[in-house]
Amino acid sequence: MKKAVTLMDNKDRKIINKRDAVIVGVISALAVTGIILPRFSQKSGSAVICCDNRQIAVISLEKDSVCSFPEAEGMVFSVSDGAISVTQSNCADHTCVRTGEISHSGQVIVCVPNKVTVSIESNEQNDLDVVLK
Amino acid sequence: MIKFKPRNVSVSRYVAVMGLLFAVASALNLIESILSSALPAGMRIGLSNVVIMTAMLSINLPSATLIMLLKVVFVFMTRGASAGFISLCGSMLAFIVTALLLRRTASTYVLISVLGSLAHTFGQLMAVRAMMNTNAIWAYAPVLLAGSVVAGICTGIVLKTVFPQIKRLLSKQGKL
Repeated sequence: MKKAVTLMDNKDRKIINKRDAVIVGVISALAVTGIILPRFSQKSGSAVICCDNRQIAVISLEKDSVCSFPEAEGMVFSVSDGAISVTQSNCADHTCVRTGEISHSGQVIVCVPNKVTVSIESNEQNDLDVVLK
Repeated sequence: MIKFKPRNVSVSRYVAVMGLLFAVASALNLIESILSSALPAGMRIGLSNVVIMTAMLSINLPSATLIMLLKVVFVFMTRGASAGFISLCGSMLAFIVTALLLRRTASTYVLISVLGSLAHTFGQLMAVRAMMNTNAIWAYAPVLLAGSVVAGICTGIVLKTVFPQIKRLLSKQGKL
């Protein structure tokens, strides 16, 4: 009987070996660091809302408020206890609403259908984050 | 002329196995929708990669390409144009990476599927980056990275167990 046509003989291929386990371990360590680090960054005083990469508003996180903007029609942003969240959206997937509250610099809420991003502004003046105007 | 069907496989067997693989790919796609509900629209951790890799290993590259494109069409029909575009970018990058690793290196199954899953993630991130024109999207990278590693390890193990069986189904002795 003829052998089935395959890319290569995979008989010697293992599920995992030491070298590959180390590579996978390094990748997961990177991922975990990336998830944990933003939680240690300081709380910030304001949030920037952008639509289509244009800044439409800067909201202070110091006092509680609820607001919406004509550029991001159908979306309602609310601030409470120094954190901002999207509480209502007219988009189909509602990922932005499910993301929940953000309060640390470096965190973002993204709404792909509405092209809206909410990001926390860094407090330091000469931080790496550049505010484009 | 690209040959999809291997010469020693009958047409009916080939159609049956391809249909089976595409059905599993679509089902996994729906399961992923539930798993990745906290990610921006249309982004997935790449579970259905396992089916495409199975096709690569047990049938051939053109057939795997066909299943990948059918999967993208499925996403396009069920979740709309933007999700379809994101899926296309992710799937194509993952396809290229896994095909190269399978053909050119002696890497293990888990590493190949983890790297494939990562490629899937970054293809999608680049698609979203192009659509939204903002760098803020990179903040999702660590979460996606972690999801990809978990998905990659799972799919690597599943792949090693499943592909010899699919290969057996295609051969004349295998019972359908």
